[in-house]
Amino acid sequence: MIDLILFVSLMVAGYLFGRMAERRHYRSILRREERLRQRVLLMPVRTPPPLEAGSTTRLVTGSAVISVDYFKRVVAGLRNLFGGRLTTYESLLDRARREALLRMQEQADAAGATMVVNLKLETSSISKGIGDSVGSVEVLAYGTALVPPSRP
Amino acid sequence: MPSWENPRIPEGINVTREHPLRELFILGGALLAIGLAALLLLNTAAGWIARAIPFSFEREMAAGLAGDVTGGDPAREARLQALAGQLAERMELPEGMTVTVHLLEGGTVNAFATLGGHIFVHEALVRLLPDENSLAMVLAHEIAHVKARDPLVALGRGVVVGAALAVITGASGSDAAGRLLAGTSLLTSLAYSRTQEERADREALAALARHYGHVGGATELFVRLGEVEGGETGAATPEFLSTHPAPDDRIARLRAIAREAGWPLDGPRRPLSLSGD
Repeated sequence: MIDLILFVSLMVAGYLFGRMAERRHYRSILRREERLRQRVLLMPVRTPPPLEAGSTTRLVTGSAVISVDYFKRVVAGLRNLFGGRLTTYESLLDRARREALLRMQEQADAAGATMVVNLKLETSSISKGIGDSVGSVEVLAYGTALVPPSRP
Repeated sequence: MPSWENPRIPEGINVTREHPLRELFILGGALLAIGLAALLLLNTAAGWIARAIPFSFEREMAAGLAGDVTGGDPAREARLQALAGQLAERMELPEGMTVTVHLLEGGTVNAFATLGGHIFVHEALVRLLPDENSLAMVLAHEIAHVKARDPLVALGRGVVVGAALAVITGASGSDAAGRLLAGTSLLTSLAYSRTQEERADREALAALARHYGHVGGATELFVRLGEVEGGETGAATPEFLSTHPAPDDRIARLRAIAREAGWPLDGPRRPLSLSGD
């Protein structure tokens, strides 16, 4: 009986706090994306456009680690039995990816860059939810920032 | 330089706009329904298979239980064995089925039947009872379990259900799903235990009526147990989650069965003579 009560409490807490955190995070993401979207351009192409004399380049990275909450993990566990899309994890990955890109853009912006080329993304899962632990997802975004010689 | 720009990407492409609770209830509900159905099926199947196994095989399985020194007084044990033998005759056990009584020393008030017709009775229980009739009720109840092959059925069910749970929880990889299933299995196995207990009670009463001509002493144990437990724990365990029917309920039911069958509710009681008489 205690087990059941504990389980239900964890589920409720995970659901409520997870949703709250997700909403807040998305609001922050949308706000920052609006600000940086045209300020630091993101280009997945490998070769940069022709550079002005005096431009510099540097590596910029952004990473985000987002944890799965208990509720999401339980629903995903049920999905693992029946098959189908893990919709609870989709938003997790979306947030982590966009957060990583934003942080990379912020790092580039701080360095005075206007563009990041050769953009790459990597996802890894810390602990992979081994045993009883709730897993988490890390996304790393990295690229080459192009800093023009002078900024208006 | 050509105009490079990052356009605003519309939302909702990489995420599915579905309410997570809906998914939880649909999947969880389906899993519970399937789990319950599967466990009920396994419960019944295990029962059938267990009864098909011959008693001689069961006795061989339990060979290790015979001849153990259990610490009880041997003379008393012999008397109990004799009483059990008489009752077994009255209850018309099938050919080849034998009952062996072992007396255990110890403070717990308990008696149980296991594989191979071995019945274990604690001395504390014997000391608690006032006359031979109430002791006969206890023994007859356990013999009825042996007659119905209840120990083997319970063992088989436990093994089958345990194996099924291990397979399912292993496949899901989620501890929470495993907990859901474990909860359902407890409920279904309890219902069967209670039917088995009620049937054993009924048969024991019939044996008492046949042996003594009345069912006096049958409810004695439960009355005394109620006194013991009430004093010690002070709290009544909810019947729903315990594997044995609550004493008050049982006493009422026993009396109702006796009245229905027309057995006298009391009569002359035989005194207990357990000191090697």
